[in-house]
Amino acid sequence: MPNDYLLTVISNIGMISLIALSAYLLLISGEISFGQQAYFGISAYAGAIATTLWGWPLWLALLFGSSLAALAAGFVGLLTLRISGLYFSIATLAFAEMVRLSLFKLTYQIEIDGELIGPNGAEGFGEIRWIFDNDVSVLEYTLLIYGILLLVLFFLVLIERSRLGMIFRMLGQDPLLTRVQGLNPVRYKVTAAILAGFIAGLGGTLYAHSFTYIEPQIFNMMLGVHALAYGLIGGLGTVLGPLIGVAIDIGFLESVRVIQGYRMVVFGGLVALMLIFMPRGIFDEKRVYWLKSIARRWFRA
Amino acid sequence: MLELQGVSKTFGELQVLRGIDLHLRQGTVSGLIGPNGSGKTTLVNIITGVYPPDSGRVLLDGKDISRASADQITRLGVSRSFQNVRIFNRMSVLDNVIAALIGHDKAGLTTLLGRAKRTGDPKVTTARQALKTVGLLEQRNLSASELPLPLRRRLEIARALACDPKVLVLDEPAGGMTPAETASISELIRSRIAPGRTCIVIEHKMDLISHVCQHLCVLNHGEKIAEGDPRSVVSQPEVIEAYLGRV
Repeated sequence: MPNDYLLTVISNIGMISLIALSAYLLLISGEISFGQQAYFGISAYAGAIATTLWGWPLWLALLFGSSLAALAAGFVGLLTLRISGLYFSIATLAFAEMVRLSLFKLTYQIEIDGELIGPNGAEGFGEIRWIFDNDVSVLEYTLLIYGILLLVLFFLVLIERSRLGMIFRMLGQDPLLTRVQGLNPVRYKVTAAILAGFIAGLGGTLYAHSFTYIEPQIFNMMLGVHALAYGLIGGLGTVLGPLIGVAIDIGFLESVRVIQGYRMVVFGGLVALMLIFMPRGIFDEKRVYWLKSIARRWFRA
Repeated sequence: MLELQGVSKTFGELQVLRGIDLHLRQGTVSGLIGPNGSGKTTLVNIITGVYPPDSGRVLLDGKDISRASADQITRLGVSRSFQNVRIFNRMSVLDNVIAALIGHDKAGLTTLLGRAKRTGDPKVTTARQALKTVGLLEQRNLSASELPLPLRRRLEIARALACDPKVLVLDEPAGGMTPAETASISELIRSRIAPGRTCIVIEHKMDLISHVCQHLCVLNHGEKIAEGDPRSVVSQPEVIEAYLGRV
């Protein structure tokens, strides 16, 4: 049996992969969001409130938290329709900071078994006990995370092969050209934002129940920067790209003792190198296309 | 078919177009020429909905499309290529053409979530046919970024052609090409693209214009200075003066 530390690292990879996938969806649609941590955080708080304070089952809390995150993402998507590029990135970052600072002010506590439970501003939100109350082991919870991650991956693979996926990639390359193909970019930009918000939301609720304690500081800019960087390292040519990025950062950099303590230095350097030499990541569209054609030839043979 | 009535456009202090009237007859190829900065591309951008006109109207089959967006105008049947080639570089040649056909799908959820390229999809057949017309079928599986400029221009034409547009707008289809490449694309437009189709061709190369156009309109400083049969138009003193200066 794997030990709890290893399982925690593995489950962390799974949960962070969800926010990385959400940033990836926006990246392939041509938008760089520094604010996906906001949706992760909104869902973490909403999902945890739903199970801990309202006694909802986890599946319903997941749906609630993620839907709320998707709504917020759709709202931000609508507000930022007329801006793109750097301005969009700054707007998303500003929204995320607004959410984080609002969480510092959020106090909503209910007395349960003689104890006040619930979000309490800067002190955070502890006693998210669903995992203990329902006798869920670390292994079982890790499997749950990976089940959800697989579902999301399956969904994203379907999207990638669909017309919608093609439209996202068209938008990511040239919004004006997409428009003169008869497509309204506004509709698809907002769709991408909502889907990305929902996926980040799934990660948020799972995160809150895995760590049993959350505080506003967790959902800071660094989480958003990491979410972006994973896609940029792993590659934007395939949905597996962000997962490869997460595995490199958390799976490799965190587990190699030699570089422990220097992880962020190595990570930052890696991102800088990638942006210079492989701006669309290890598995960019060209390499993925090349690999697919090799695979096709191999299967034919 | 397509009619412009008193179309004007100003950017800041600069009046780019002044009261342009133009009538495109169905099934004819009209050329639009003029020196650099005469307003040709702005006119095309107004026809295709990239910019709205400040005043005047654009009518397609009698319907006013002056305030329609670029995507709506495309769906109404106006397709275009660009002066500076615009293709989806990170897609294959075939996917570039399929991308154009997707824009004409009904935007229902099932359509959107359906596979972009199903086996036996009529879109794939149409896209292949368009590529065959412009001579790019062999290159269909290449990444569009690997194509040299003349083939990129052909890809743009295939993309516009695939949707079987009512009006096809070609903005400098021979831009940046050698004389041999120009002759080749000129012949392609005349023999395979233009027949039975309403086209506007913007070009500086007069040999292409005289080879493919039945009607010619000349702009200078945002005004229409001549219009009619290409041979008679190019011999008019105002046109010669606009191109060569006072002689």
